[in-house]
Amino acid sequence: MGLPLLRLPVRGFPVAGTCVSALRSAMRMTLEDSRRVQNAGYQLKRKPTKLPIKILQPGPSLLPKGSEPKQLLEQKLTQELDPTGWRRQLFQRSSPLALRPGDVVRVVFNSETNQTFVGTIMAIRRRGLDTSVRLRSEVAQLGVEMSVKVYSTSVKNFEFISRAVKKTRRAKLYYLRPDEKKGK
Amino acid sequence: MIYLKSVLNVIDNSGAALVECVNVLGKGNKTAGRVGDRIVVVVQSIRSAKLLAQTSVQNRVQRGDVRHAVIVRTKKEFQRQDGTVVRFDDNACVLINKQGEPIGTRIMGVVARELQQGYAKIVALAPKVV
Repeated sequence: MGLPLLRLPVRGFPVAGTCVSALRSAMRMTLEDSRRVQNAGYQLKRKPTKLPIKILQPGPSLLPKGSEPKQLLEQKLTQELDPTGWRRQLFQRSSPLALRPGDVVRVVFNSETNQTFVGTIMAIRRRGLDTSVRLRSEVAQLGVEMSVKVYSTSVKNFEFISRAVKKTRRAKLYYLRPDEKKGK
Repeated sequence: MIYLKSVLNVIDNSGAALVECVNVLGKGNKTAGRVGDRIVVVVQSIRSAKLLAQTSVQNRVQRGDVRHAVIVRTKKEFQRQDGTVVRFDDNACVLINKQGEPIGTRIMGVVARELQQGYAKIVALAPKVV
């Protein structure tokens, strides 16, 4: 098959595949023929075309230079949820007011009924804004545990009732729970 | 997490002391019962008659009775909308009739606030609500 060196009969097709199909239809070639052309080592001449997609440069950062977005968000939320800082003070280890495991506190909730819960602090989970305390108490001779998110808007106040009799040797007082093996 | 064969305390004066769960209603067969869920129970043991002097004989249940009940406390902790997590030291229920009204006339002990929806009468009768 003596095909002449190819010149594009149709202009303005940037994609190679389109070129070939247009070429085929122009030259009334069979599919097999066109494959042969593609595999024959010929290179179709193409004009260098501009990319149709415009790549934009990133704009200037909205955050101050060198700042951590996560930290900024946390600062902002702390301002919103704890403007006076009393929540932070109660649960920061270095603070003299800090609550410790074994202390007894009353949690006052922000509800219409002014619901409260008194209990011994069993565990403090320090995770920034996600900090929570687990309280345990006995209500009508039955153990009840409640874990409260410190920074929750539903918590109105923590009222300190008493310090632990002795400074506890553990951070988590799970031993306050009844012994399952012994029964009640 | 109340399933088939779970044993619960009964905290009303219907006469039952311990019941065994035989079905959790309104759920698939693989979902656990939680506070506020309705269950079918079999009465396993009853309280002594002395304690139940005030209960009318009509309302008393017998050992082996199949009754409906509503779960009022669970050992498995449950979370509330505001992130608070609550957990009790035992599993307990209150016997109810088909209409959802409690069979007994008194409730002893704490119940969860979640019962307010659908079982307001139990919450009203309970001495303590957490």
